[in-house]
Amino acid sequence: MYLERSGQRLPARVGTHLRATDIVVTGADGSAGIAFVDNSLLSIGPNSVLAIERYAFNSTTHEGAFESSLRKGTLSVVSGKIAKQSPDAMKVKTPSSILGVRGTEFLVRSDD
Amino acid sequence: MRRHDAALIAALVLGGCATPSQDLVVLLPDKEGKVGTVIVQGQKGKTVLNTAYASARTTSEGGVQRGTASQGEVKDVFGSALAAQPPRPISFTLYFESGSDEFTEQSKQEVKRLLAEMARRQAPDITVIGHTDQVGPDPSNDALSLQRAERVKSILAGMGITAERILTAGRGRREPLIPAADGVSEPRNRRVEISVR
Repeated sequence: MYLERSGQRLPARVGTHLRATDIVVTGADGSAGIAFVDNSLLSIGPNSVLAIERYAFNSTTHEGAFESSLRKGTLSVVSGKIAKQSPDAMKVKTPSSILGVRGTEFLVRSDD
Repeated sequence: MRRHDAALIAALVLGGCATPSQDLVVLLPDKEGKVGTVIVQGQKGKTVLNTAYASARTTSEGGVQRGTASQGEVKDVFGSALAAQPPRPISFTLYFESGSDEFTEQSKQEVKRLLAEMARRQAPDITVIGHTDQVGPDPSNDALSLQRAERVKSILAGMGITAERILTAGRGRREPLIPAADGVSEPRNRRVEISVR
């Protein structure tokens, strides 16, 4: 597993803090779980590429925006406070579709 | 020349067939059995998933096909992703002795449970969220709730929790634990919640 941040490849390990626009990549026997500050939980299986394209969360009002893109592989999602507050604030994209997330738990596979 | 063009077109079509980008989306029930809603928008169609194990597959023509996924298929395709899910966030609620910086006796026990929960997790991060009662306007309650959260953060940092793993938030009067009318001073709403993820 590794991260791509601003075009650079960085090692990732348990506890690494992500930034919006990071890309998480897993290998053939890898997987990764990510807990976001609004309590959204995302996890990916092997051979997966997940790009965090936009993440904004106002912890006072719970307003925000969360857009991620599964470029390939498998993804599990448990939505959090952002989707609960605003039904159109969370989106998951794949190369061939866009998912509008009203909540709460779902799975996505994208074949490359 | 004509044959050359035909060969090129065939290659393109084959290329298209070799990588039929097919997505699969499956809606799951949550831990309480409740089911949410996901809207799947393909290039040429969309479908709304709102029942347990409802599925959507994109077709090579850009459409979206609705169906139902079996639990076996979910396990086969998504077993690794599901196994990698972080543990569910848990909240602890703390109260202060009135007019003091001291937690109530009950809250001291709650702090012990919080530390035990953090010890169970691989890489816990926490958000300390202050809440107020329904007295006064938003701006002053937002400031007050954040102040309380900051105070609890410094107490927790003093107990050895790494400060960079602690976020603070002031939720003001937006999320009362006990429903109360405007202007009602309800002590159970003046609290600090600690969310562990």
